[in-house]
Amino acid sequence: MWLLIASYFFYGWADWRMLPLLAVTTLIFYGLGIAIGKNVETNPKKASRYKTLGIIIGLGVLVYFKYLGFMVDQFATLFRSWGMNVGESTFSIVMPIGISFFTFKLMSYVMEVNLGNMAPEKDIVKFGTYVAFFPTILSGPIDRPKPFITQLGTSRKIEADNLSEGLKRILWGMFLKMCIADRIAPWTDAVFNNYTHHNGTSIIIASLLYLIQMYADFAGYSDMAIGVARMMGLTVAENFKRPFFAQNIAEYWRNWHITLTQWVTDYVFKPLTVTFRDWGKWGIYLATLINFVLIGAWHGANWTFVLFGAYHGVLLILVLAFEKRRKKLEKKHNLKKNEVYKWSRRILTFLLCAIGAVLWRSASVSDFFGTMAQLGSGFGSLFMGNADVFVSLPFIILMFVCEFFEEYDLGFHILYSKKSWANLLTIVILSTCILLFGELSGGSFIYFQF
Amino acid sequence: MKFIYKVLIVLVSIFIIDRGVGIVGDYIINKLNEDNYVGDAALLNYSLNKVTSDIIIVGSSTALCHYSPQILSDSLTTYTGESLSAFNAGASTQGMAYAYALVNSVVDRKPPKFIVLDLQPQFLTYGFTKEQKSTLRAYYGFNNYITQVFDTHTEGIDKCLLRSNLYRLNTTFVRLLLSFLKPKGSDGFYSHDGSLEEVPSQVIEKLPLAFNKLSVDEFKRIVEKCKANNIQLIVASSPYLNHQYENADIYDKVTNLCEECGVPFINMESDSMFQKKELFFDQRHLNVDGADAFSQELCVRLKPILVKTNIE
Repeated sequence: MWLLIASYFFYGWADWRMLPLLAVTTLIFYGLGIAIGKNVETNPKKASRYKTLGIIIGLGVLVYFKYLGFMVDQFATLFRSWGMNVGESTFSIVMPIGISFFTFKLMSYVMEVNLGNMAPEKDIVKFGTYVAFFPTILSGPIDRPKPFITQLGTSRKIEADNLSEGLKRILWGMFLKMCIADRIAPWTDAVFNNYTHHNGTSIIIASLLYLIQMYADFAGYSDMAIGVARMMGLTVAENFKRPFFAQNIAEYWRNWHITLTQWVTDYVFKPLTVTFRDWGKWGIYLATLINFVLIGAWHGANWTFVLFGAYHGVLLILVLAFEKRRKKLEKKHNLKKNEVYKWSRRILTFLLCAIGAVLWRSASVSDFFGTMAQLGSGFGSLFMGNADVFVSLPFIILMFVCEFFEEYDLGFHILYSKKSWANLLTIVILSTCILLFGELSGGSFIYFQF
Repeated sequence: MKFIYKVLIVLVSIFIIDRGVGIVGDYIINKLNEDNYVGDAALLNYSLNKVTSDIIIVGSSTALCHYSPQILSDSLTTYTGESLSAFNAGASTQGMAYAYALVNSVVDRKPPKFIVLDLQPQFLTYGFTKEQKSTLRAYYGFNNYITQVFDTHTEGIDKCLLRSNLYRLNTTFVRLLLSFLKPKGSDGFYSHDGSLEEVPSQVIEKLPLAFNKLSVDEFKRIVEKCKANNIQLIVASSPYLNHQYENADIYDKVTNLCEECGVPFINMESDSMFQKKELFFDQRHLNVDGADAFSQELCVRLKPILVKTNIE
């Protein structure tokens, strides 16, 4: 019960006006879950209707708060372009923070109950805690209901191991956020917000750094959320798994924002492939494209996000289309274990994702093309303002080295070592780095806006 | 028990590192004081702890970019007949708390002949802001007046955190280290090249209606300190392109305060002579030509004041 109270207190502290929305949607989905559970075996059609109602409500809430303002603006612009007299849009809705995360949790719940993967949760406190769990409500990970709610049913004690493991994750998250993301942010902001004043060199470096900033910011938050949950004896789903070591876009997305990718794959992509099964490989391509456009649009009401999704969708389609040929080539030239080949692919994937990151970062599509056009302005010296960005460089290297050790299983895992001295050393070093080099008055998390 | 033992090890280790970082940090600050290295952190360091010029310019980034020490030195040398050196101790983002600490530190070392305070109304309407604190807290415990302004303006958890060297030197530690890579020797002045292509739209800025009591207090104590040490304090507001304050009487209040304290105030913020885009690097900062023109004009306007106060 205290966990639920703490979660509501935390959410209310962030924005108390949205507490009723969270409470009401939780109650509605709790009721729908019970209704689906009652009918799922005896009357599957009725259960399915309840599920559909749940999805409509979930999407309705999401569309109303997140996309309606954007849609009204777009229609107004369209009508104006047809010469119709439409006044300036004054439509504005305050978007509840974390709405994309908790609505996806709610929809996931009704779908899981309807699929028979879990029994409906009768305990409103447990269900409410799942939806509003304070470490994850603002920025994920988007936990699935069954594994999380099951944990709430077991007795949990404060254990030294959990405390120390949790603390390490929190410190690592803070390190990523404060020593890397927040140190990079002022520099990339200075470049992208005034891209017309910067040359190709600065634009390229800013694009590469922005992808790292996004990762450090979001993975940092996820680590903190996982760490806080761990300290309370709860396991939350992992959200990132060394995405910069991915050798293609498909692998990248399997390791980047994992809980969102899995959610969309399970509830959108798989049903779509069934729907398009008669179209063969074109059906899969179409499902992939829709899947990624949805992932893009999930991030926000802006064409840049839609294009960001479409861009990644197209890249993934290319990966799928050439997969057979690639495998043949790899076999013929024995490339699979060739490190040069692997690293070339990793670098290519990173560069492609960095272009996507610029699209994601741009305020508008024309800004994106404007930024890209600056590459043609020549490659002079690097922008040296906001020199604190250079503080982040050794930490970026440290982050990559740690991930390298994990990727190649070289025996040193900064976060997962069982050796007591290694744990203590990790905690001391991370605390020192954060206090001495971290941006202590840094900005909000990028993903809070979703 | 084992867990408590581990927690203790972590805390003791961090404490030892904290003390070590403090020793290294203070060593770096002392080392940088041996000569005036270029770079924001090093210049701030030098201004607070070492500079002993005859003319000191103090304020924020506008002081730093608008007042040419060379021009002031030449003009005031001509006016007074004495050879006067000048140093620009302006520091980006800073305000009255920094001016207070700097003036007191400089005067305690060797009283200058002139202090020019570039005063924006914000200096008096706001206290010691978070951003200003983040740059100056490295000198907490190192410079007595910085310690004093922090003690006056800080309370609660922030005050406790200042005891930690890691927190005190956060960010500045690296900036100080990087200063060693930069060349030595500077009069503090930093001017921008380039000018605006078009006049930016008008900025109407809203400030708090009342002055901040602590900041006004610091201003009055600067005046007292200067009077006690026979230093000519000149308060000036430098040009700002196409800008005005929503509270239109703000400069009347500043003028009244200066009159009350018996300090000359030269306000050129909206002076038509400088409302030209060719003289500005951005809306707030003059470029190198603008800074030269402004410094020369300031000296012209200073002359009658100096005659009046019998310094000439």
